[in-house]
Amino acid sequence: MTDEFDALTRSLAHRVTEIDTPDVLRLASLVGRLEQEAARRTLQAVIRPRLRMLRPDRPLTPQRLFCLPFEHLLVNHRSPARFGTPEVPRPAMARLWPLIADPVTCAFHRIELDPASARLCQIRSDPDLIPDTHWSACTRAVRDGLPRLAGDHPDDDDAARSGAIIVECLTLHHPILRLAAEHRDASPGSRCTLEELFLDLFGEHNRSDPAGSERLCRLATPLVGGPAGVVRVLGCGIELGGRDRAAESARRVIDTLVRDLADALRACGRDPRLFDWFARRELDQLLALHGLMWQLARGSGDRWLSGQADLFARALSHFVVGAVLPRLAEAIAARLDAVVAADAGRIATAEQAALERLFGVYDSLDAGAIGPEIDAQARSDRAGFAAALGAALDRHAAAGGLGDRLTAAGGLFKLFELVAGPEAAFHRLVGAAG
Amino acid sequence: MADKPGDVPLRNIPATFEERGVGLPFASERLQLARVRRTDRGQLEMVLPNFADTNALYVVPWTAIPDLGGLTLADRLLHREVIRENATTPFAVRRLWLTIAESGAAGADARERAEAALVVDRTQHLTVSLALVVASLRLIGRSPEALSFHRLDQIPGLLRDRVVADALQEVFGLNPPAWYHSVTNLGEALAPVGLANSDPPARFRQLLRDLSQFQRLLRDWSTTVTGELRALVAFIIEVAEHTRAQVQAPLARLDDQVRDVEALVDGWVRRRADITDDIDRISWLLDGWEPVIALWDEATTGPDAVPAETLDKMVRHLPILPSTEYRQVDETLDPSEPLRRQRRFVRLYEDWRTGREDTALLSLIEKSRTDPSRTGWAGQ
Repeated sequence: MTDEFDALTRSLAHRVTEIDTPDVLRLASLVGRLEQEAARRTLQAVIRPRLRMLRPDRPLTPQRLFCLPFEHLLVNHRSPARFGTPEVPRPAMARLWPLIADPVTCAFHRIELDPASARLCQIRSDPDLIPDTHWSACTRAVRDGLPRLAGDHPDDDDAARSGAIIVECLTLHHPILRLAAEHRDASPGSRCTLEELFLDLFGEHNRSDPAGSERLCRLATPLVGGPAGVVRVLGCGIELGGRDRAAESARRVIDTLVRDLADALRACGRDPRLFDWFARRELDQLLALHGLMWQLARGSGDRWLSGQADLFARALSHFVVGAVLPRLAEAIAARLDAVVAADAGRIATAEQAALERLFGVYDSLDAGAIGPEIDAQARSDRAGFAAALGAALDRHAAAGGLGDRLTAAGGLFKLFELVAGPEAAFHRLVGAAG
Repeated sequence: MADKPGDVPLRNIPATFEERGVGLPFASERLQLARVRRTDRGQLEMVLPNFADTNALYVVPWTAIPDLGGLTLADRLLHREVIRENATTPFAVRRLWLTIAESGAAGADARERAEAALVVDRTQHLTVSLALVVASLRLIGRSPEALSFHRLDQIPGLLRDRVVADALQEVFGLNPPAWYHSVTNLGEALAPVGLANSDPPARFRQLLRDLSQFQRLLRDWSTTVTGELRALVAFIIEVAEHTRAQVQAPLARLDDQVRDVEALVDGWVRRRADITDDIDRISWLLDGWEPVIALWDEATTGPDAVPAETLDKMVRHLPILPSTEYRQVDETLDPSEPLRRQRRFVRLYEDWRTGREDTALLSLIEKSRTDPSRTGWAGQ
């Protein structure tokens, strides 16, 4: 881009807060029509703070339509503290999009949307505006794009994980919308996530027509799609079933789902593909589900629910000790070795985020309080990492004052904090420095 | 601890900047936006608004902070260094934090941010110093063209030139090493403020711009809300406006000084106190705004942005001008008045945090009333 363009951009950035609202909207429309993508992106970044406040109607682009089924999962940055929650980070989406843009754009260009109804809020709730075949085309495009993404970015866990979540959401989107449309009275509102829909199904219909409610649950259960969906639906069902003793049909569904989930967990320990699915995405939700079941069982004094919680806890504990912890320890040890060997003082942001995510599993397990065998195994693993890091710190930052030790291995001390806690890291740093 | 939580914002408007304390960049969530200040007896203490989600203003002896728990490694280091250096000014606390963050002990993200901030500081130091050198050379009749940008190391060579040395002595009354010392010291002192036309702007000018943009965005957003929320926004905008107004005077004085290079370099030793006073004053005035602006950015960037829920937190953490400063703007102004306006009873079915009708609560109550199987509300 030219110097003139840079000067224009700078000038606009300085004055963007002073421009009147109608002029900002006109400017946004003009910028949106620019053909040069780089220039368009630069100028959009400059006026975005104003637009964020004004929230004008956004034009319907193929990308925006494509994101509808999983827009509630889009986040700006993946939070390390929330390991396992289903999220689609925008940077990961940006890496995936170039690989699928052509077929997705082609699929949406075939739709002729009536301008009167073609607003995002209407498309979000009306299954007839975008037929299922288009969502299937998008699903195929993502499935085809994922292997290429893995080839281009072999270490890009976020994009691969996001791709899997997107496929699940695209597959479920149309059937969920259809179901929600059939029961619009029970499920008002423009946002129709799986959880909201199931809460309505479990809740509203159960009171007036328990048999009908069960039928609906049975009809909807196949929509759950995979283990991830089972966890989320079970969460909704248990919350309701545990609170409302009248929700007998919800209890029957819970009974089935808990057994299905226990079977799936047993299978996960044997099948690496399924393990990845659970350990990377669903562990936090499984732990939260475990906590919820115990809380509700204790609160209500309900022996049936206690039995269900116990069954689930045993399956989960077996899965964590047998499959999750050994693989977790292996992954952390490999990454720590690489960090120590590379450069002890400087650790890349992505590397630190990856390690934080992995250590986050221990924190989740601590908070989940599933069983003493898990605590013992986790304690032993962490002690091993602390010893390895301690030895590396002795090599890299054995002598000198506090400043020298920080300069030599500040990043390693940060990792030591992750493993052994801030107090131990502080004493190791300050104590040795005198 | 202050004795009555609800009254704290009204009764604890600090009288001076020192009483308000310096913002601390603790990473621990519960200590975010804590401040450090010196007591009358010269000891350090931490002021912590909104601890444990109450309105109370907690005052904790500095040595007791580790007992509060939840401190990260970097927090502990900062705590230790603040004691060691007795740091109670915005500049001192920032310098300590940058040293810790640059080492990587606060994480890779913090290290990158610290490195970027240090690059900005060094660039501004260099830019201001070179501007002073160029202006000085022009004053003594030498062409500054030979001195390329980013080559401050050329200056000592230039000083060995006898003609230049004589001219410096004649114009500034300083021998070359003294002149060079003055110029680089001035450059360092003025780096946070930079030159008026610097691009990118220096740290304080950038923060002023951010503050101005923040005001404008808040104003835009306030047109979409009513009632209490609008009053809260108006209050924040008012405080920001007064802060900006207070910054203008010292900033203009500094800009004037930089324009008159001869007087500036010549009188640096005598006027040093005035210049650093102005810069310190700006640092105190702007201290605490960065996290408030960051809170707003965070609340408005997500897909489900709910800025209304952040307003209360922002108001609690607002770096309100000390009462003496406030009255310099307008003697009739009362800093507690806008806060007093906020105090009112929460209406029936209203969410006390947002001032909006709590539809979830309403719906729950309605359902309970119409459900014949329930007793309690329905039966009354």
